[in-house]
Amino acid sequence: MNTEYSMESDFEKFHIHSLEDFFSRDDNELIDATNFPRNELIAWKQRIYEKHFPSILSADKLVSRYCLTGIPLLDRLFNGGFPAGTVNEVVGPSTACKTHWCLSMVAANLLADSRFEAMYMDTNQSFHHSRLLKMVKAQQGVDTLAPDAIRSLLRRIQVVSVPSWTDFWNKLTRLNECMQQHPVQLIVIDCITTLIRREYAASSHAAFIERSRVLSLLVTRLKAVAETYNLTVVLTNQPTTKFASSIPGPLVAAARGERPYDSRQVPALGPAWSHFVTTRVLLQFADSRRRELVLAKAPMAACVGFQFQVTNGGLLADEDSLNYREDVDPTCPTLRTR
Amino acid sequence: MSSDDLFECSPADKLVKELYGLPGSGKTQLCLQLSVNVQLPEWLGGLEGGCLFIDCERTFILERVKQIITGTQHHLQKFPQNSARMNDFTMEKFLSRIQVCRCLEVVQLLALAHSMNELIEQKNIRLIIIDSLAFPFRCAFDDLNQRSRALNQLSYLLQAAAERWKLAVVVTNQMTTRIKQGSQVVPALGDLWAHTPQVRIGLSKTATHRLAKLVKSPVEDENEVPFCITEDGIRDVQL
Repeated sequence: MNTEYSMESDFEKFHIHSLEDFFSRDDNELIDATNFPRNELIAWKQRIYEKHFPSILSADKLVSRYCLTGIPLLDRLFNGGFPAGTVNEVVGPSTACKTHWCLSMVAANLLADSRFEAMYMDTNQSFHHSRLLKMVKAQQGVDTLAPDAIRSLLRRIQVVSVPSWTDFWNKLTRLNECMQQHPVQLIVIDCITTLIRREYAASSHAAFIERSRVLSLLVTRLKAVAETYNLTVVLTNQPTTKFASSIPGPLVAAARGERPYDSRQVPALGPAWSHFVTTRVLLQFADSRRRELVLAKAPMAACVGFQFQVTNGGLLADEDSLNYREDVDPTCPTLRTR
Repeated sequence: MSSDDLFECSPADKLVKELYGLPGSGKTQLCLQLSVNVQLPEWLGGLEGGCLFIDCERTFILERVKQIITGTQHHLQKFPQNSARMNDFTMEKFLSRIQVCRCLEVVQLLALAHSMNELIEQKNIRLIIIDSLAFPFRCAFDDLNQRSRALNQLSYLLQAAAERWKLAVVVTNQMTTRIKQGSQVVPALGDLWAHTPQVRIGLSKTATHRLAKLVKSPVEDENEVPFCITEDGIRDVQL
């Protein structure tokens, strides 16, 4: 047996372009390409399968890890919090308190575990250290924090400013370097929509295709990061206007000169994105004074909603207002703005 | 027809079944329920075997599976003829019979499909679940021809495993928008894939309950069955 040809580094010799290409060819095509005798080919294939065979664990050996959500009622509904390995979306209109909630989530986790580390990827300068510390003080019920305590907290949060898509992508693809020094358990991306809209506005059909391609890359990368490092990703999303007659998006409708006779606010980034996120949480306005949180998609809990108040320490749920919200469409829920 | 009849996983038919639906329609919840049900005795609708849960989207959430197992245990206690075997149905035993495989990439999925015979035999696997098949295939391929070929390979391997080991295969699929004289939401992965599963069930959600629609089957007529998702798992609903 010719053991030189044991790994995919030799694919080029045989004009096999990639692993996907290798896997999509049948035995006869591979024999034509490699000139291996059949038994050598089978042994070669077996070595490649063994190399890429995924790990398998029985469910009783799985260890569940989660991040606190910062809202005790939601932690109870989720039996712990947002599970590790998942990508969770918080979507809401402007002033719905998405950033406030993300900060309170970070604060709650930093306080609950002295080894907890988080990363905050900030696309539009929403993060301020003073705001986080104010939240920590409110959650602990104290007026001041000792300098050591402040240092310990701030040392455990990596704030990364990512004003452009390139900055964001570079950081996301180089996480290995950061994780070696700071084993982060929670990554907050606030706000993913700003990045996409800045550089991939879907104003024509070609631009829409490009945006879909970029979203597909983003989806793969985020899932890989969450899975590889067993961490939780929470990202914020904004609404977009969905017109009754527009395909594929509102900007295209405007470019065609269509008038928005019938429109509603729905989460941006499209319906394919809705498949991808593990959890979708809506933050919206029940009416001009009351705010509500609705679980549009949550495999860990039923689709419920409750009202909340905004406090210095985060979002305070009104537990008596908890009710089932089976009427909410997880793919394209209508967001209630103020 | 009850939801048990619709979702029944019988070894005799060796079929590949597809569940498709919009996000939040209940595909994963059904898969989690099936991963528990397959372990039950045959007279309760199970196959007395283990499950290989191929998790492509990190949807296998342990806490939710434990809730479903607890609900199943309550259900089992209603049957006195089962009392002697209750030791086989503790939480640990239920969990130990579900093999969870996290696959992020198509190559991992295909490598697994090519080499899973030993695992199936050792762990008495009677049900293979892939949740969801759409995610790795939609993200990995720019070349649609290559995607179709890889999908065909995987389909062949799943069907071969179903026939050789007399097991059931359940695969979940996402939805995509097809733009052709207007826009239509259809199952993802294209028309070629649509021919592969022998049974196709579309899941949807109304304001009060959920619906499972049997759209393709070699033995049954088209049918629609309401069901609900409770804390204990999937249950019938009387309308």
